[in-house]
Amino acid sequence: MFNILFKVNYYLNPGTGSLIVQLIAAGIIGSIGILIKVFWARIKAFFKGEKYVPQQVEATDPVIEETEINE
Amino acid sequence: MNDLERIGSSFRDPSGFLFKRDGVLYRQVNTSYRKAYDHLISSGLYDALVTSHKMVAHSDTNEPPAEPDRAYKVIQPELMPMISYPYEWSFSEMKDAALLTLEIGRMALQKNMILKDASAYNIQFLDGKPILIDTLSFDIYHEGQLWDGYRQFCQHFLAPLALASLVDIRLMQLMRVYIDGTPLDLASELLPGKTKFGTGGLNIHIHMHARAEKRYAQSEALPTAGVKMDKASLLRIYDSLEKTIHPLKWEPAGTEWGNYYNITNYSDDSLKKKGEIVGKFIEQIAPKTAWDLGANNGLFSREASRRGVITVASDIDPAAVEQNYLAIKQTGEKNLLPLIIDLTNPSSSLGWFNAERESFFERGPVDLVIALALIHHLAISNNVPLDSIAELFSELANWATVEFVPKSDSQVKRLLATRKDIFDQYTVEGFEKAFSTYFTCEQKESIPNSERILYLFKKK
Repeated sequence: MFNILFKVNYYLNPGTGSLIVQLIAAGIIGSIGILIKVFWARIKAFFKGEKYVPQQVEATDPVIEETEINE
Repeated sequence: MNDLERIGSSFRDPSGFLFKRDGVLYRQVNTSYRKAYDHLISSGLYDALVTSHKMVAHSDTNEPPAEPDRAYKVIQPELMPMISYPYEWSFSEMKDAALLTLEIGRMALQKNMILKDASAYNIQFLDGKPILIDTLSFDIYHEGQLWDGYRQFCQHFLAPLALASLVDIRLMQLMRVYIDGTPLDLASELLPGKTKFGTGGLNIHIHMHARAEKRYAQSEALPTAGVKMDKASLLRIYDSLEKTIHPLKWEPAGTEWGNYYNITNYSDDSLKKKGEIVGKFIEQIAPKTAWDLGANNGLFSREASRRGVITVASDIDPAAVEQNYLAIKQTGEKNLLPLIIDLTNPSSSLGWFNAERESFFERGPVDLVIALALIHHLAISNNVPLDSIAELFSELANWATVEFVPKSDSQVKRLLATRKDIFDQYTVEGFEKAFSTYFTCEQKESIPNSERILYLFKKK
């Protein structure tokens, strides 16, 4: 399994809390981007007088594997 | 016998370190960093950064390593004319250093490398622009990797900028107390409540960050083991940090010195003459380096810098230094570095062994000290004896251009208006006598339409 915390060449202690916030930050920033995209599609559809058809949004949010963050 | 000296700030990163041999600065790259170093060069990242003046250039050398057992190679970095530290930078210097770090982070990712740290001490200023001086700041990027430098970036750049912008510019001085940047819990406590809501960058990168650090400070199990983050998410974090920093502004309100040249008793003509005399002195002695102490916005520092003299324009006032830096940015002037220095309490040596950050004076001596309209502030506002001022200047430089401002001058009258005049030595004669202990007077000229006198002193 890919394990980020025990890779070679670490000299800074990134800090667990810091890593978690990074994930949250990436998630929050990411989901806002997605929300606006969806919303924008709705607005466009409204003005064009079309019916809004939701599209599959490709998620590029952080992939959290085999771990549960209990915050 | 070779004179070998390891540089006091260069010990944390196992990738390599700086050393001096016979006065020349080298960087040893260790074998543990071989792969990353080779990738830096072969990927074109080094060339991209150096040609865009974002990172210092270096040359390969056959110089023997300082620690042969773990050496991969020795490189010779281009020298910075003057080293400065974040607690000496003005707001915009700090902001530009922060934005450069993020930009470099992005460029690195394009070449499949990642900034492994984000230390403000890795940034220096050259010809009015920030530049990365640590060639070994990059690791090979592994898909899924998180950013180890994230916390350091927030402590070294984001927190001081946010505090300066939203609370008080003087809080940038916290960098002097905390060697690894402003603690996030302290920044969180000091920042205004309005930054604590929603998905604002400061809420995430400072407030939530501080809470998470506290929550996981004691945890032995690592809940992030096995967690991945894709490259796009990493880039979004850089973007988010940049978007958080961009709107942070600092505009000095009601500064004491910012408009100094508009409120002095100098006429335009006298100012011009003063500049001409200073310029003439500089041409006469042709220095390579100069420190203009109490330089305000650098009006007279430019008499040196535009003649090719590497010049530091230091002042106690963050507004004047900011104004100076913004002017340099706008005009693209070279050879001039504005720094915030309180001459009555200049930057001391800091960190491990008191050797990681050099004191301001350790970064001298220089060829010329310029001290214009400064003596009365030191002697009268700070009670420094005139011969102590002369002694200091003689330690800092071989030459000094000093302006004497007599008691009859309105600026000195203003300083004396609220206190008892205990300065019976503060006369032209007393001044010349004090300086004669350490210097010989080479030139002396009165500034027209004022009672002030300019001196050119040569160290004895």
